[in-house]
Amino acid sequence: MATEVQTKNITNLLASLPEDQRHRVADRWRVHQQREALIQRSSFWKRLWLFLTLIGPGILVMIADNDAGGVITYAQTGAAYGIGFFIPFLILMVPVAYVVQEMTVRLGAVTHRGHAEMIWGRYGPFWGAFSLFDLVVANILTLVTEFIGITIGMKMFGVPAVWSALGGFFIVAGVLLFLRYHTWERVALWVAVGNLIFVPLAIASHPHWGQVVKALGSWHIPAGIAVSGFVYVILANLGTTIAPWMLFFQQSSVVDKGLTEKDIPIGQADTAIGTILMGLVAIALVALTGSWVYGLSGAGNFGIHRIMAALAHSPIGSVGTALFGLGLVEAGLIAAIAITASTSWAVGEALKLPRSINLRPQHALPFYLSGLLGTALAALIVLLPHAPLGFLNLTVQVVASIFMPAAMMFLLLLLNDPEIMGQHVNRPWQNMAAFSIVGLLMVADGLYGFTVVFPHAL
Amino acid sequence: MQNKDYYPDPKETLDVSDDFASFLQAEGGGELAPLSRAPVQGAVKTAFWGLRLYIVAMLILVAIGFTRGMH
Repeated sequence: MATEVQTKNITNLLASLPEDQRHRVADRWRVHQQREALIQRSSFWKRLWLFLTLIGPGILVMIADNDAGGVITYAQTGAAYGIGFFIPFLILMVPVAYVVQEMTVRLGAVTHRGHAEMIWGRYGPFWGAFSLFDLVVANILTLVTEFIGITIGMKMFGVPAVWSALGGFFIVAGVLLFLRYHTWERVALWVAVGNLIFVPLAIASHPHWGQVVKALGSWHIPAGIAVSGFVYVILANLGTTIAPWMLFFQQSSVVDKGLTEKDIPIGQADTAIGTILMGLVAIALVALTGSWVYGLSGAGNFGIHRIMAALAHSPIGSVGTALFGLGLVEAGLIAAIAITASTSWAVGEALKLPRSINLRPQHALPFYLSGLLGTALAALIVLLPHAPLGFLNLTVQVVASIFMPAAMMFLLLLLNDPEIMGQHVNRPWQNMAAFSIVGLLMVADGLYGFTVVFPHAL
Repeated sequence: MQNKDYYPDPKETLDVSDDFASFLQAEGGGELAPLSRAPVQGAVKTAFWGLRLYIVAMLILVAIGFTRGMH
């Protein structure tokens, strides 16, 4: 009799939960059962299954970070400066990205709130609105670069820009509107696998491995380069490695997935795996163009079309170049999926809307529309004739790296707040690493500013 | 038309048992406690002013860079 009453209470409780929470509880119940099975009889496969169930946000954010703008930036960097400086630089960026993103895992798992909600709630509407405005503007600009990548890549296969932009938009809208969080995340992860195509392409191009290894120790900067342009490219690479949308995306994703304090170690492993994959792809791109495009006449000013034309004459040939084009489409698509979700989550958190990918479109239209309108706008901008797309691509990276110190400051304040983080507050080494990153960003931005005002001083 | 694959009804798939009750309690679902404003004083206040100055300075520099047509 008592069990019947309890069962009824639980059923009533479940029925009383909002739709998004009910789905999250269902997902978490599966995780709980997997943990219970592990406790009863541990095995490698059960551990692996639990691990595979809980990973997602970290790999997704890191792969999506190698977006179309990132792919173009890395390819242009390799073409303009070779592998001497930027391969070791990108290796350095791997721990930098991990340190930053790992903090969002803890913050999301402990507070069960997204980044926008935390800034708004703890530091008031001014900084909340500032962060939201900054995020939305940067996201729309970034989405423009994603659609640039999608249209350029599809053009290689004879698809007109209007169809590829529309197709990209409808895929992003479709997965966001009609899949619940778990399925959305798995679909996005499968799309993300395509990002790894650049690694076999780089291997197949037979880069000068001796030079790659030598570069690790030398950090060689090519002679006779313009310092201001070099700093600009460093900023662009920084901007594409760590960006504000990534903080908002991963924290909200952790919350929507329902991760708790118990899941933090797997969330950290998820982030570490994603960071390594991100670094591998970035290095592969610089090695590819640094080996086969760098040194060609005028390579320093090559756009992505010229770079791909040059790659067609490298050992990867026309098939490899076509795969490069497909990789560009995938990079734009996966990032568009992630960035659209990050805008929706952030707007939902700031305006206290019902906000979860578990919600049906008719129950959370403002949440979904807030992200999708920005994405539609970006797709339209790409289709405008004579839009300065190449300029926009580098600009978005620079804008992101200028705003990043602000986003990092809020992250650090929150992670050092024992009232909300409890035992998961930042450790001294984490603060040292994070403050060093903020310092690095500010020095890079300061150098950029200096070269703007005094272009002939360096 | 509702697609059941995308929107399964959790009530149909959940095993409503004692174990589930303890799980639900441990997960702590339900409403979150409201967030209180953090005190902005001392070093934090200085950091906020530094941030304001940094943002203004960077925006001015970037504006100069773009108007000069540097890139």
